[in-house]
Amino acid sequence: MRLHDVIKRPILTEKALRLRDEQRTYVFEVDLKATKVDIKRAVEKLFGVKVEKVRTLIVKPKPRRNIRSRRHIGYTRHWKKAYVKLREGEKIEQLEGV
Amino acid sequence: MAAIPEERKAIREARIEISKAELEKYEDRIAKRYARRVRIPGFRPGKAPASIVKQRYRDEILGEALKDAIKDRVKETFPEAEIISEIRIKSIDQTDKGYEVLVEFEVVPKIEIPDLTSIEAKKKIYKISDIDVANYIEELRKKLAEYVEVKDRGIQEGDIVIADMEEYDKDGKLVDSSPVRIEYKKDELDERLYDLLEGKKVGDTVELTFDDGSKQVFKITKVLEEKLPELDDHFAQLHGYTSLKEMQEQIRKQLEEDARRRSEEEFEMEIINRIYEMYPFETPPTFVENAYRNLLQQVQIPQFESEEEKENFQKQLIAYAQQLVARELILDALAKERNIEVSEEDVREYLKFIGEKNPDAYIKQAKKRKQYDRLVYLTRLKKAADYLKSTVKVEMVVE
Repeated sequence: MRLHDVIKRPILTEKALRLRDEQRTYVFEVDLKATKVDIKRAVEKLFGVKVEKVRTLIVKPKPRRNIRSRRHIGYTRHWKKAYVKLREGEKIEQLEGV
Repeated sequence: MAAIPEERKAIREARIEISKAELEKYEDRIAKRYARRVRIPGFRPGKAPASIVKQRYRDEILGEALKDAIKDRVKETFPEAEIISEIRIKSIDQTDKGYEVLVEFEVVPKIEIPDLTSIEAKKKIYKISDIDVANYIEELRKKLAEYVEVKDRGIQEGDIVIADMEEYDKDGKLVDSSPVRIEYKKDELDERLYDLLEGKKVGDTVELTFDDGSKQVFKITKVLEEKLPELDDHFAQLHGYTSLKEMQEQIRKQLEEDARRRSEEEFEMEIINRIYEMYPFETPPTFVENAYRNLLQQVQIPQFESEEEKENFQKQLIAYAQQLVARELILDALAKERNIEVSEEDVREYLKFIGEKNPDAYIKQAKKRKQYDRLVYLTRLKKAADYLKSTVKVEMVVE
């Protein structure tokens, strides 16, 4: 699997920013088939940092509703989220400004 | 008229430069403001960091930052100018250093007050004669006039003629047919039609032909005579007076008061025009537009027969609005220059002058509605006008 296929996008939410600032942990959406090892390698290569730990989870699909009729119209997609903790003193420059 | 110097112009133009660094400061400030109210997925309201807000609302923030930066820069560049309009961006160029902007805005022009004792102005005094009073009463009589149908005589001056009018084109084809009401008055009616109708009775027909061959045919269906009410005490009582004598006296008093006010207003405008001619200035379009709108609400707008007539009416009204704005600016400048102070007693006097019957209650209401400052301002203008009229040289002219 190519590096760019492993990491799909960084997650920028209030919680993700807090984890980044307080625990050197960055949150990404990753490929469903990517393993922790794939993710570790991809982050290290793409951003030039050393990874200490990777935790992953599958975000479960949630029921989608029509806003007007409030009727159930299917599910959101399921996807894989990865929490990537860097080693002490490391940071991803590209994601610091946001 | 001599060219107006720059400081007496109302519209200013300026070219200003805003560097990228400077603009960024404004962007940061606006992004923080945005962050407090925008909703961004993944963040609780107001918790999104400014950097993310800035990314999401880049165009809006840049627009507002530019607006704020331009506003501040204009104020810095023209600290003495009293800006009274939006700052309009005429052109905007992006350069390596930042932005180069050409702006236009309105300011209160600098008003110069000349030595008032050097001004000589005519004051027209309008005398009210018995004829004026009689004419006024005659108008009131006409308003209560009754129209009585006449059959035994021909049409006379002052009658109302009702006729069926048929209009034919030059080929004799009927193009219009409608009933018409004709006021048979020599100075108001077409001369030829007046002569044709003279002495005619109900049932008679007159034909008016035109140079191009078209014609109008009038078939008289009714002739009405104007019957004015008798001029007696009863007539006076209908208008709220006890007797005809009292009515005449009261009307004379009212006409004299109107004439005095007219004389004062014209005198004031004459002085204002003199000052304006000595030190002309541009009247700010925003002020003129507001004055024009106020006038539109106050005046009775007539029925216009053509676009040209409508345009002329608008032009006249705009010219008058300009005059009113010039008056206000001159009086305001004079009040500031001579430090004219206004007490509550002055406001009371002013309210009495404009016909307010209960000045104290009016002042109380104005204070409650936070409109008292406006009253003070108007009183100050009135005091300035009085000062103006008492200072210049007056030449009385009896009309």
